Amino acid sequence: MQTAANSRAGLRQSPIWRILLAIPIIYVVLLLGQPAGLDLPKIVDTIRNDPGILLQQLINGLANGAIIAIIALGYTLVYGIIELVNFANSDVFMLGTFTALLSMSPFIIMSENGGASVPWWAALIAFFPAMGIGALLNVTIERVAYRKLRNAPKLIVLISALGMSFILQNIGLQLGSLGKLAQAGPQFSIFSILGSNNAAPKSFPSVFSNDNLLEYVFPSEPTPTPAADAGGAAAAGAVAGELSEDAVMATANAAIDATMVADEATRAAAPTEVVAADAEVTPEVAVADAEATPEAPVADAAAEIVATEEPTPDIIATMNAENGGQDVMAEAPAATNEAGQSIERTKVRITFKDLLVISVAVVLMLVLRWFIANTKMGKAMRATAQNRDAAKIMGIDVDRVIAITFAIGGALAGAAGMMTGIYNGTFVFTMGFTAGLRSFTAAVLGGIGNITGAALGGILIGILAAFSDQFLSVRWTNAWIFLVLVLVMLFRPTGLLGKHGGEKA
Amino acid sequence: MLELKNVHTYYGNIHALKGISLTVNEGEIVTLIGSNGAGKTTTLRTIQGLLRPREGTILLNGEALEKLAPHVIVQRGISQSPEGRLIFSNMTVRENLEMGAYQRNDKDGITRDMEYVYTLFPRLRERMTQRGGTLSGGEQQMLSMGRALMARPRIMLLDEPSMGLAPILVDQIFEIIKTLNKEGTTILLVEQNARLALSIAHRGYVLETGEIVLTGEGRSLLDNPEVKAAYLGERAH
Repeated sequence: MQTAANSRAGLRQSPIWRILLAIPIIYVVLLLGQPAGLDLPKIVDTIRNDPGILLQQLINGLANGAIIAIIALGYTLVYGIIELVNFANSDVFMLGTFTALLSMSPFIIMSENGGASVPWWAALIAFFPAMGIGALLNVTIERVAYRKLRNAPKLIVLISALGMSFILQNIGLQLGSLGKLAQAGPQFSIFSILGSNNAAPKSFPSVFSNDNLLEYVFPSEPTPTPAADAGGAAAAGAVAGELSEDAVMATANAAIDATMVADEATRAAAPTEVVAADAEVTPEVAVADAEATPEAPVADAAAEIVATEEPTPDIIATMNAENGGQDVMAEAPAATNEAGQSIERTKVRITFKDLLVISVAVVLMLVLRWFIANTKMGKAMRATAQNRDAAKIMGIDVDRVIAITFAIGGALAGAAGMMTGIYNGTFVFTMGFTAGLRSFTAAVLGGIGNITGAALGGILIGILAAFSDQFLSVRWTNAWIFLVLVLVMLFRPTGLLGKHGGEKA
Repeated sequence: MLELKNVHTYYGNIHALKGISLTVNEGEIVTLIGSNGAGKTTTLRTIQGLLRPREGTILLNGEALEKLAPHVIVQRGISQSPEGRLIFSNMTVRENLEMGAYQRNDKDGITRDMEYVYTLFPRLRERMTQRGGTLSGGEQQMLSMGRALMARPRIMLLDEPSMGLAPILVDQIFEIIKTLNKEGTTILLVEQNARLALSIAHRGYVLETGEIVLTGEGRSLLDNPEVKAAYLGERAH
């Protein structure tokens, strides 16, 4: 049996097999890729006209990938140790954002126009409850939903995991309705942030500015802002003019950034203009039924939103900035990526948030690696991952090791939740689903059970998603991600960094 | 020291141990022989707490073990070199030994015992930083025994230490078992190689389909005609 498996693996590794496999795959991708946004000449054109956008998306991808990577660490740790896909992990991530928001609520500063912000130290403090509650939740989940099933068939545990995921989503939904309490009397700022619609995306108070750090390093001459023409703005995206300091290329998750921009636009008091540039002139408005499919507008809205420092508050398209961003989310216009071409060259932006998210992710990964490699508990985790019975014979309390693994995964998810709040400025109770899909894919891509692999996979998925959002098609981003997963699985079944022979943790 | 009284263990509905009773006294080598599937490994797994007996009791110096978790049983002084050795193949030899001492916190004692294991098995010292998976079968057996020793057990369970090893290595391993015993470790040895096991054991039990059918001193079992016919004749080498 082993020899059969070996010869199969051998065939898979032989160059002939790879070539035979690659040819039809490339053909199919080229053939079927077109509706999914694969238009090579256009992509080449876009990049030639505006090389900066490539760099910009790389930065966006790195930052979003860093968040995915942190969640993926939780998936990969738990999978490594009990071979279970803890679907609830990414919902712990979602509740991490809620926890962070709720624990920051005493420090929220509201501006007259509804925007909210918190001082940086409050955000720093909020990391602890976010991680703590995340850990506690994950440990409870293991205790309640998985421990009794440890010797049950894998499928049953998987169903249990899905069930936990739904329960957590509904907790998130209920938390979202806290804002309704405002009608009963007390006017806490947290209530106005949460709003009255429990399913609607919530805005996260802004913590750090969107200042382009590159501006400090390479200051640019001030350029006159061209006047916006309501009629021509959309058609000639150039009208939007030079991307100034507040301008944000909303791409990675356009609607999410849209909220942030709109949010900041209103908060900044300085009259700001939000332009939804759409080359096709008619913006396809995705009016979302937030109750039913709150995720839909997030996926659909590919809006290129450009905020300029225009002294006249003039809202073009269906941007409803006054609502503190919430309704913007639901009614974000879906603009096609072609808009990117007509807008003038992208000025590459690196914000403090980008650096923060990426460096936190790197630090967490390094600490985790060190912990697993060098501490007694880390070694016990590796031992349990390799052979649970052997670990028991060594005198390792396997239940405790598994609980601690879940705690670490939950804490990481909580930290990621906090960071997505800071970075994207908005969140919704269903975001765990997409995040879970991407981060689990990242874990498999990197080689499940492998910590460095999960981090690498997360970064790759992040960049891929950003590029797909920009150059391919936002609607198809998840499809492209899974295509890459399928390809990696075909050519390297153990993942990028996975080793043969079931090496774990 | 260790006493099993009427222990019944099941795998699902399969009645694997049908009322095993055996005793291991302090300082003894006791061997449990029997053919494949007789329940030898099951007995060791039950003692260690990996399997729960449905009936019966297991006493270590009078304390009941059958309801304790495996890691607590290790704490009480039972460690094991399990069937198939179960080396942590991604960990170095040194890390494997460290895992053996998981329940202990006396750093100096651990260092001393590791030194002791290295003198007992010089090959392990040479391979200290190598991964467990890269060791040969004999070296893995040494590592597995060394790892069990690191727990500083009062009684050590050895499951088929001769399995898959060249005869010269088997002799070496059995010499070490004798040495260990002389230095004070009580040993419960499970073996298919009945001749070898009985030749070093003080006492032996013969297990057949989950029941103990014979018991006696090592030498006397070696001379027992039933044992000779069933276990020694076919295993002559």
